[in-house]
Amino acid sequence: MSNVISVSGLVKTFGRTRALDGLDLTVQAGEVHGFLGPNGAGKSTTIRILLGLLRQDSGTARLLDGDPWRDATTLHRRLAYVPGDVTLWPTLSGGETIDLLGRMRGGLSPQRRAELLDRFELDPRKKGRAYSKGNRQKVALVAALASDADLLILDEPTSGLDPLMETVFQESIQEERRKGRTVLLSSHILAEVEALCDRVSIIRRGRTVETGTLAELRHLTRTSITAELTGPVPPLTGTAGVHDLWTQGNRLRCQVDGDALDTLLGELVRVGVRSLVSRPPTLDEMFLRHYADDLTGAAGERAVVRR
Amino acid sequence: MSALTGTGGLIRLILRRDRVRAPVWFGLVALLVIGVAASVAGAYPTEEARQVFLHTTNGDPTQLMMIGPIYDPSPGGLAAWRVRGQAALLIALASLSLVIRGTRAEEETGRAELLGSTVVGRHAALTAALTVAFAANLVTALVVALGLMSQGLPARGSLVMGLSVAAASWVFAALAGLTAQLTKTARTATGIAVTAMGLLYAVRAVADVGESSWVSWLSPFGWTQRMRPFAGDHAWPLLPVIGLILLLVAVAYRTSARRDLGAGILPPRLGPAHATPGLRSSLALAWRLQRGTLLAWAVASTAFGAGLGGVARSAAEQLNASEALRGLIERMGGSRPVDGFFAFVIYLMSQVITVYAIQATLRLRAEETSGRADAVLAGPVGRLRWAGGHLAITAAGSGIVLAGLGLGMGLVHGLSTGDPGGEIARLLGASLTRLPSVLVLAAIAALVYGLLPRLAAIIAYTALGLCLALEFAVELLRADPSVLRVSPFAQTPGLPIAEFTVTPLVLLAAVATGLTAAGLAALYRRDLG
Ligand SMILES: Nc1ncnc2c1ncn2[C@@H]1O[C@H](COP(=O)(O)OP(=O)(O)OP(=O)(O)O)[C@@H](O)[C@H]1O
Ligand SMILES: [Mg+2]
Repeated sequence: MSNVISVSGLVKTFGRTRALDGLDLTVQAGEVHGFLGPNGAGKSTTIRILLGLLRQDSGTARLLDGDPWRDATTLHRRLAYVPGDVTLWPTLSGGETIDLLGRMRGGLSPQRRAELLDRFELDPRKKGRAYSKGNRQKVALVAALASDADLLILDEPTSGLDPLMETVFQESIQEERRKGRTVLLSSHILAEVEALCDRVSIIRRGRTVETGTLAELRHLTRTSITAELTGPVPPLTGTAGVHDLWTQGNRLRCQVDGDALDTLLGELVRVGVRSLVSRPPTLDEMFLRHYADDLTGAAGERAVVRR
Repeated sequence: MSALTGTGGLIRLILRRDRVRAPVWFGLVALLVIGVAASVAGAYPTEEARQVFLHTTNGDPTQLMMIGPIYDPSPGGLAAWRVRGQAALLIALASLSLVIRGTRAEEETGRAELLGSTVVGRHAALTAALTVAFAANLVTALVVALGLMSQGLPARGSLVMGLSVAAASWVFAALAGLTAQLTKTARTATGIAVTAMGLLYAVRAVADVGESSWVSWLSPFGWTQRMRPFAGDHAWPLLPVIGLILLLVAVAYRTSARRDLGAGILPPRLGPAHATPGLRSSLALAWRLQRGTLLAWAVASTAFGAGLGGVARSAAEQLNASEALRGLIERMGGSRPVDGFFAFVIYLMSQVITVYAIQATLRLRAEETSGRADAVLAGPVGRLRWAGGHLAITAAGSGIVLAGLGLGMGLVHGLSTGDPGGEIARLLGASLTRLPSVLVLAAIAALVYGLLPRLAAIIAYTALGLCLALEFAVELLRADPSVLRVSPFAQTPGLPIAEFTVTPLVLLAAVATGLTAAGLAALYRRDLG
């Protein structure tokens, strides 16, 4: 078994809203998979289908070699889930909640529990209603991380954590990865995604627009080039893959598609290069490009990579 | 900006928000007092009848405990005795809930923060809530006074009566103003105030049974009782009342000045760091979540049963005098008035207890919409097991609450007849016989929860309302009693006067099981959340 999650052509409508519109998602065993997309793109809906809480209208979803709806109970022994908006039972203390959730899954190790509580600086004696948003999230995180589940499904698990706890979270996930666990991580925090994820899937309006490693995705986006040549800049306007060109005498600035980089550099070298600065796209630029509405067309479609 | 800036605006806000709730609640109390006064005059028309009643009552410890002694055999004196205590409890409840809704509840939901960031002083909410509560009680007192005077009762006594009811209520409005400053949640603030009210009423009860006047001085209910409407008409007990109110309000303001918005003074209690070994399944969780409500219902229903057991004999006579109710008792097949009374109240109370059963069933919906069900269902717990746990507790809990009613009635009534064992067995059985009817309504709630979760509460409570409405249609509008056949409550035999038959119980249980199964099947198929 190499795919822990495989979803294809998933469709889910709520009344007139089409929350999922043919979504594909593949998560391989042992990887940390980033699940990204703008608000309302359908991330939580996908996760709730994977948890057997919602039923898809069409398309297929497989989870740990089972059917998420039919085999929910048995599959759930092997996974742990942290929702983005954690609500706790107001009269149960955090410690009681962690114990209860752990025991329902078949027990949890007391040392691991104590270690996680310590690491996340969580007081387990507070009642559910007395925790702040971040602390409620920590309760759910400790419960999930203390389990020995094969798969962790985390839906924006750090949206309420402070930067210090964000670091603790990242360390914990790195540890889980080393133990060979698979993680599906939905997140809006790009630094977190960059630090943790082996591969990412970006979805928009219920469809997958990109899947791949961060390196692959970078390759698909534009690099910005600033150069000073030894002679006048050759005529580049109209060259495929070169955008936003600005020239002045021997100097030029432009954006270039990953696959046109070679051609462009060839042209420049022929004239002679005095200095050149190439800046790869920042993660922000990359995601903004996928999130922004005006880029839905050809570029988005072409960029889909299936592995 | 002074600490009171914005009080006027907040008063208008409370008046607007509670424009239905407050008039209904306070108005019903006034109507209760006036109505009882009117009926007492009719029930005991002669001086002689009233004298006899005074002697039997003042010699009956259950009456002394529940209500207190009668001070004067005039119609006013009897009316004051009959209704003053209950009216004071009801209106005090209205006051304290009004104050807490206007203060702590606002802070807890964060609305106060929104308001507080505009031009509102830090004492404004407390001042506004207390002002409205004090004024509402004063108006109620005047309405009561006018209502009693219009029946020809003495003016002075009528006014003292109204004030004595309002005075007790002022004390608890002030107390609520204080508890709202102490705790973090409105629930706890209400809990403390209501518990204090219950204890202070109990102090009065003990004092009256033991005829111990110094004990009675420990309770504001004892003070207002000493105002003796229509039996001396004292105003001086208002002095300690006002003194206590001033003290409570002063402490409330001091506390309000010293604490942060949203915070309490009493630290939120910490829970255990580890769960008890038993908390390991969705059923155990359901029990943990439901046991508080169940306990409250069980205690209330036992206490209410005890109260009914205490008044059974005198009430049975009054019931017998009422034509409509006699018709009902005869329809149930009875002749002994006391048994008729019990059959009637068990029938009625089983419908009230159904509110518990529906509430407990709809707990599923609350768990689902809050997202807490996800945490359980994302674990290895099937939907059926999760829902089944809550439903099993609902069914058992309904039985426990009904049993409490029968137990309370049997014990107190049995003590007065000298056969507690026999009465408990009889009335416990009679109450539990109603369980299948209650469960049919709970099963309707389970069915709509599965099929139409958004409408579950409305449909389930409407179904219960219809059962009650049918009853009224038959009693008051003289509709054909056969329409009652659709009500599950009319199907169970009206013990202890009717014959016990097992068939309808089995049928109702089968219907309840079928409806629940259909509801679970629908739940199994649908989306959650
Ligand atoms: N129960 C529901 N009823 C109706 N519409 C829903 C429901 N759940 C989700 N939707 C709609 O489906 C779409 C996808 O929502 P979803 O919660 O999956 O987005 P998301 O990617 O998780 O967004 P976010 O980043 O804000 O969490 C949204 O348009 C949302 O309004
Ligand atoms: Mg989401």
